[in-house]
Amino acid sequence: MTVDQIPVTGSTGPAARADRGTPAERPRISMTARRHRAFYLFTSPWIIGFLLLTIVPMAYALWLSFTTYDGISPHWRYVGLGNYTELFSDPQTWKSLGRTGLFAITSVPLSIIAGLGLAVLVNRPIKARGLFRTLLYLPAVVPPVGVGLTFKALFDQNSGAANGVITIFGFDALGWLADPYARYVLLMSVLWAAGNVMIISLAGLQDVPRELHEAARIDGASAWRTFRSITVPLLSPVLLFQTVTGVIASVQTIMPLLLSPDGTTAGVTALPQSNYLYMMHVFSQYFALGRYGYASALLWVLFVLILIVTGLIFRFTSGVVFYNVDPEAKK
Amino acid sequence: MTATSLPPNSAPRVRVRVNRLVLYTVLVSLTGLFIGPFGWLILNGLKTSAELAASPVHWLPTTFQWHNFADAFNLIDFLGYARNSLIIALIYATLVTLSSAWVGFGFARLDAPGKKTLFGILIGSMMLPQMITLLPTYLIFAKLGMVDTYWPWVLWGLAAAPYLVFLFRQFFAGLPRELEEAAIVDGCGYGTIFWRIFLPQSWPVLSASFVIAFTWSWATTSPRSCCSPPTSRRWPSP
Amino acid sequence: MHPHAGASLSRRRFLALSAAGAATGAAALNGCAMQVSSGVSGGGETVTLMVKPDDISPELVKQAQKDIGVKIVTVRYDITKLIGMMTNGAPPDLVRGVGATDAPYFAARDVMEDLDPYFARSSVLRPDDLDPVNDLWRYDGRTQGKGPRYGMAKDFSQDSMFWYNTGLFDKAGVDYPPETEPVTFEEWLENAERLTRRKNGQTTVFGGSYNGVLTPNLLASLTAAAGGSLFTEDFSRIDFTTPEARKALTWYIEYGRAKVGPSIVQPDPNTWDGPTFQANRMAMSNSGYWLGGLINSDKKLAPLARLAPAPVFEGGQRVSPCQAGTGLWMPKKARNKDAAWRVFEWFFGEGPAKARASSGWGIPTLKSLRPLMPAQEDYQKRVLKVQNAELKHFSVIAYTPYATADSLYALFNQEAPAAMNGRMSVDALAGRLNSVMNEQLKRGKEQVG
Repeated sequence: MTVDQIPVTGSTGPAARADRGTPAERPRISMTARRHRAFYLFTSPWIIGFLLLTIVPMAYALWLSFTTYDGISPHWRYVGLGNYTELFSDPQTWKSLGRTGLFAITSVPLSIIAGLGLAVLVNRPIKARGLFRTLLYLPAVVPPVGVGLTFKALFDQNSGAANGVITIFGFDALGWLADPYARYVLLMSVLWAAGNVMIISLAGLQDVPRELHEAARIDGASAWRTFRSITVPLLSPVLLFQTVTGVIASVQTIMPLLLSPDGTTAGVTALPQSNYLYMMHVFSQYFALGRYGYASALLWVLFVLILIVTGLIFRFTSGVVFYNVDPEAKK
Repeated sequence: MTATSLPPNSAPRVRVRVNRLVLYTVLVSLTGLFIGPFGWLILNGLKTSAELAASPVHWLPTTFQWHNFADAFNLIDFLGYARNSLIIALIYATLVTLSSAWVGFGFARLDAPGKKTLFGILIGSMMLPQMITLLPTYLIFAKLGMVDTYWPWVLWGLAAAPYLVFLFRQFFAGLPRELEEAAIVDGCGYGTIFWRIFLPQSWPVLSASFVIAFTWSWATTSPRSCCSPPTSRRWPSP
Repeated sequence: MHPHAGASLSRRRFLALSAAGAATGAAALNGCAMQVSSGVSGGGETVTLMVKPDDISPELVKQAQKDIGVKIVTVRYDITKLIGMMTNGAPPDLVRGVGATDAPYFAARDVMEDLDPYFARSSVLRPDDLDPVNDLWRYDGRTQGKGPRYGMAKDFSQDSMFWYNTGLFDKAGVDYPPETEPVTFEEWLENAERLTRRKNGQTTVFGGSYNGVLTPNLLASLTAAAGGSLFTEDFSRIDFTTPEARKALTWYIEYGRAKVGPSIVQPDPNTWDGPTFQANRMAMSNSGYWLGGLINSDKKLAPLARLAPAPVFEGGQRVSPCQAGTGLWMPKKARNKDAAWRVFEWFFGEGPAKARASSGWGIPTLKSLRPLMPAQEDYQKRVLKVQNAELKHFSVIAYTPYATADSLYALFNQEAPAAMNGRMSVDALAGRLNSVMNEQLKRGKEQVG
């Protein structure tokens, strides 16, 4: 790939290239135009992909959400906003939405704290650092289905390891996978993958200039203060990333289904109430009841809601996140 | 942060030793907690089905049922799955890491009218519940004759993943401004700056991105697997 | 954070090249090295089967190549993919399905090939040799069990029967059920309670499991056993408030409340009774003859396990239906029908069918294959005797074409836990079920037209 030629050709041309003055000597228009063209060139793979194959499915789903389509029956019809009015009056929509919000509010901060803590821990000069990092990260590469199987095996009421340990100490076995404990098992299954936050934070931590820490130590700052005043601000772009993607992921997770002993599509509706999240409601409508139209409407509503929440996160953190080069600033 | 860098005073030395003891204890027990479940899975894999279903729990297999693994191997076309999965995961992870870094650089270091909107759309598209695209995605690839080939993965790879774009954007935005200023003064194009200056600085994120992307495609259930080669389903459905 | 959910996020972006791909043409890609399906070998035909992995093993695929010279390509069964393939006009050549529920559903939507002409010509699958269970795959436009054949079952069981573990009966001092006379459902539940053992909050022995194959079929079967019918005559409505349906529902909710076996309020992690029964932790298991496949393979368990007739309700009728009848059907738009039929004949009437018949995992669906059923050991002879007597009571309990079994099952799961946990009366539940299920049936009826 002739990478170095791409931004040059077509943006400033050979003439501009020949003119190798300092930026101040160059015509200002050309500099700006060059940046602009480079921007579109760099972002084009995503833009094209998005236009072709994300907009189309989205539009398709939007159209479906106005119909009673079930995938196979011949006589489906257009119902206008019918699906939307139905979903707003469906108590399950609101209940499952509330649970989902609660799940996001608890699981996201916990994952970030756990992952960041692990990152700080394995970023220290310790023996076998690579081994510890690998082992701690390992659970994060387990496919969701695998996580589900593992946790079901651990927390089965009659044959699981967790109750095996509990009964050794003379306590009664617990129904982990049913209410009221199911929500904690769900949370644990998310925290098990904290290694994912760990490696991303680690990438950020390694980026924190050593001199800053040295300087702080010479100034007599405590470890906690160094962490709070230097590490966290420098990590803040990464933390914002974790928060946003974490919220999105937790809203869309299908883990409750994978943790259910009856993991069939029809079993979704029998999930412990506390784990019947919004996505589970969508699942039951889409796969079990075959209501593609209604489920598409539910998904569209979810999409708009996440959009709003994320917008709010960005808004409230705009003054807090520290960038060396502010990607949002006008240049 | 080794003991040698401290003053030759015994009190801190002891404290350091205690600190290290605490550190390793915490580290080892956490690691144990994280990999413990794997141990349980392996033990379970060696039990008979009656031992598995025993209550109260049956901790250790009476005789190790090694054949269980061989059986699982034979029951499904395991090698076929594994090979296909590996090819897909490698193709996808490599392409999507490079393309996402490329796009992420654009969002972090360049600007143009509409950038803010585009970034908003990028983040927004990440929120699109994937299920919404299930059927249309299949139909589109079917129309292109690409169902049951590796092509969808090549395309998904080239298209960059918003999650990774966002990751690279956050990372690149954190690098000092001087990095490209000097290069611009030298008359380098942005492509060169990206390729020669930013990428070599990014090994930690590049590898993180590769691993993440690899596990995505490795772990894929639906809907992408809808379009993958027939034997590429890696996990029995729940 | 959660790589899996993260995966879902990114999972829909594809790109630029799809434009290029479309332009340079799918045609160019078809022949190229990236095409994965290995194509036709030996000049034979290729037939695509959408099945679950344990329906057809890789060895069986090889055997098909050897036996009939047809290359089988398997696609994992996935209803969304099936719908995608059908919408795209290129369905698989054969699809797995559950006769008891899928047959009327797909037949009413006119996507299944009428196989009568093929059966008429076949020397392998002769109509007079077909077991009545194959009638589950018939649909006349109104009722299941009559009319053209749209598929066939690979094997079957009478799914209201139950197995019991004499060892656990002895230990609890409970009398065995009679060999060929049915117990009542009430007696069954009473026994289950006496057989259940609990310790430290764990159930170490389940007295009995009774969940049928899929709950909607179970409830329809129970209602039939009580002497009634769960669906109205035109199958457009369901009614849990008739005395018979109410009796059936009450019994099943009682079963759930008693916690003597797996149910939606305490699901079995294995999703089937086999492992628990094999671990000597289940005294009675509502499974048909097919469970013998597992039992025969366990030399310690086999002499202890016995099969018993389907229970009855006092004042009801003796019925012993098949609630599954899993097999294959051919989509109307299949492209390779003749080769697909060849595979169909081979799968249901030749090598694979014979192998299945002698394995004990179900009763063969061709009468001529019955002599192959395992009967060497005493315990096998005993089981076979009970089974043969039960065949007289076989009947098809027709299922509605207007809703999938999954949908009614999901709606039951949504409402029933409250009743099984004692927070709702059976009457209130019956009302709720009527309302949500009839809504689903109404939507279905409207769309079938």
